[in-house]
Amino acid sequence: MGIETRELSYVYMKNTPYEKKALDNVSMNVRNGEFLGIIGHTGCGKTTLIQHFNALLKPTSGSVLIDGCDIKDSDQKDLRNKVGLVFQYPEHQLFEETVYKDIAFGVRKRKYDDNKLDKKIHEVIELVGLDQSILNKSVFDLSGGQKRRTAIAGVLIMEPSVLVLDEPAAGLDPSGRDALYKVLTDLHENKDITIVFVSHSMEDIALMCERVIVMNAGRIYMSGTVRDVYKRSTELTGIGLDVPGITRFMKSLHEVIPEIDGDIFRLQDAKNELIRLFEAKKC
Amino acid sequence: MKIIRTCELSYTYEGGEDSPTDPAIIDISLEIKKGEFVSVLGRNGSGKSTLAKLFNALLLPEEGTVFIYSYDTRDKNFLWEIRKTVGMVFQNPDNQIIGTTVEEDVAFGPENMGIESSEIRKRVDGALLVVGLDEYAKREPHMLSGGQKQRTAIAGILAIKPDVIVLDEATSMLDPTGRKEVMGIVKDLCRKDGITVINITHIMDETVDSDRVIILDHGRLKLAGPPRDVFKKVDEVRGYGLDVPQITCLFHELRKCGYMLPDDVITPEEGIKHIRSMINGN
Repeated sequence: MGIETRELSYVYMKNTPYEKKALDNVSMNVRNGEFLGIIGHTGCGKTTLIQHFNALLKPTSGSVLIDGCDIKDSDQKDLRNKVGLVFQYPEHQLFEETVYKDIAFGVRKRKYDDNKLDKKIHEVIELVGLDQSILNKSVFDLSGGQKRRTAIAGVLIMEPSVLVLDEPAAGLDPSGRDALYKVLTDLHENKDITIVFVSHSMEDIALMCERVIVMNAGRIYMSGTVRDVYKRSTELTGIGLDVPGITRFMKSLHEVIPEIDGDIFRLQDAKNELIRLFEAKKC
Repeated sequence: MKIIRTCELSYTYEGGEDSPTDPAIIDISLEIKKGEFVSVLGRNGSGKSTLAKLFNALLLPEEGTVFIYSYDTRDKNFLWEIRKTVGMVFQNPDNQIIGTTVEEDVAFGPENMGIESSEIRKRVDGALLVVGLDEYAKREPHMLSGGQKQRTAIAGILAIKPDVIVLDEATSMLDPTGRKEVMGIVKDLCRKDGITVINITHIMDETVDSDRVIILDHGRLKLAGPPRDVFKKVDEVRGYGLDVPQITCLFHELRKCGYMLPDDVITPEEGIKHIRSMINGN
């Protein structure tokens, strides 16, 4: 399922002294089946943009199309089932007594019989890589990473075709982050879920995404493959984004050893590139 | 001079009768010197925040002792002295700002200490200048960015004139720019003004130029030493659910492929030097 925005603009608190144009003529798309990254400085409009993807916000002007159909004309309930939005710090929205009940909350109106509900809950808890034994625990007894994944399970039970995640790894420790990223990769590869991944981390976008959209001051600043975008490091630095540490390192290395490829964004690629160099030099 | 000293320190949170909890801190003995920049790492639930709260008597030792200078944190007579010595900045910028303007918020600490108002004025202005928010004195805190809010919180601590600042994941909710703002300020406070900084973090880049890295796991102190010595134990560090700096990791991977490179590279400059000498054959 694809998402498209056409000349989308959004103004917060229109006609008040606080009026702020958060999105300015944004035309972009999310292609069916892709793993898309959205990056930009705080206040660049990333969160405002994704809130249009399931009609939590309505365009001030322009339009948003889901599967070619304008959200204005779509059934909102249906839309929110199709596009699952995971907010920043989604664990703040956990509220039920147990993990089981919390995950079930989203589908309470679907009137699943108990067996079916039970089966669904066990399915999604497995999808997010948590043990079934967690289901009867209180959400307060979970670690930060477990809470985060519980919140994602609560969205997955709606069976969305597109999963939009706003800073999903914020505040997690490295092992919690890695476990979460593995879940996202699995959902994308094995469940064919289209993923939109919003992050501040250039490292994480490079690791996870095929294509990336860079936003600045409410507009699309650039977009393309990770390689094409990350090559333009001077422009990225200019809008307050840093290329990954490993890229800076390879670029500095390229300056002193020109035969090294300086446009490298992942650790694994840096390793391969250096091995290539060492072998060429017979080290 | 030692500013913080813990001696066989243990702490367990009270659970319900039928749900006993595991100890959060187990037998930790460590010393922190005046003016030191210490990074504390550990996965979620490893005891980092508990340790931080034991440093300024927000929690009191169950076993063992915590000394701030010569004050035992369990001695109630020294409570205010201890709280004035060790200031804390927490994770969520929105949970620690109470003033309706930035300067009011910064003045809250010294006001509670009963400091004379002309002195408060001086301290607030001075603190805002240090964190670069002097032009924001009259602003409403909720209109600030995350980084600005954390800087306001730091200014509020500075106005108490502490000797130690403990940052409990104070940058984890900030974007890269906000992170740089906050880290730049605390590094300056440490290097220029001799304030002791204890930075609890998950972000490895913040730790490479600290004097010492301390790693906790399941409440125990597992590794402590200069970043270079700690991070070269890549597999052990990963075993505690943590990362090492990307550059250290790269060299570790290359060593595993049989290349004779050093294992304790933590900055890009060193990395470039070693790769050059490798291909030049010396």
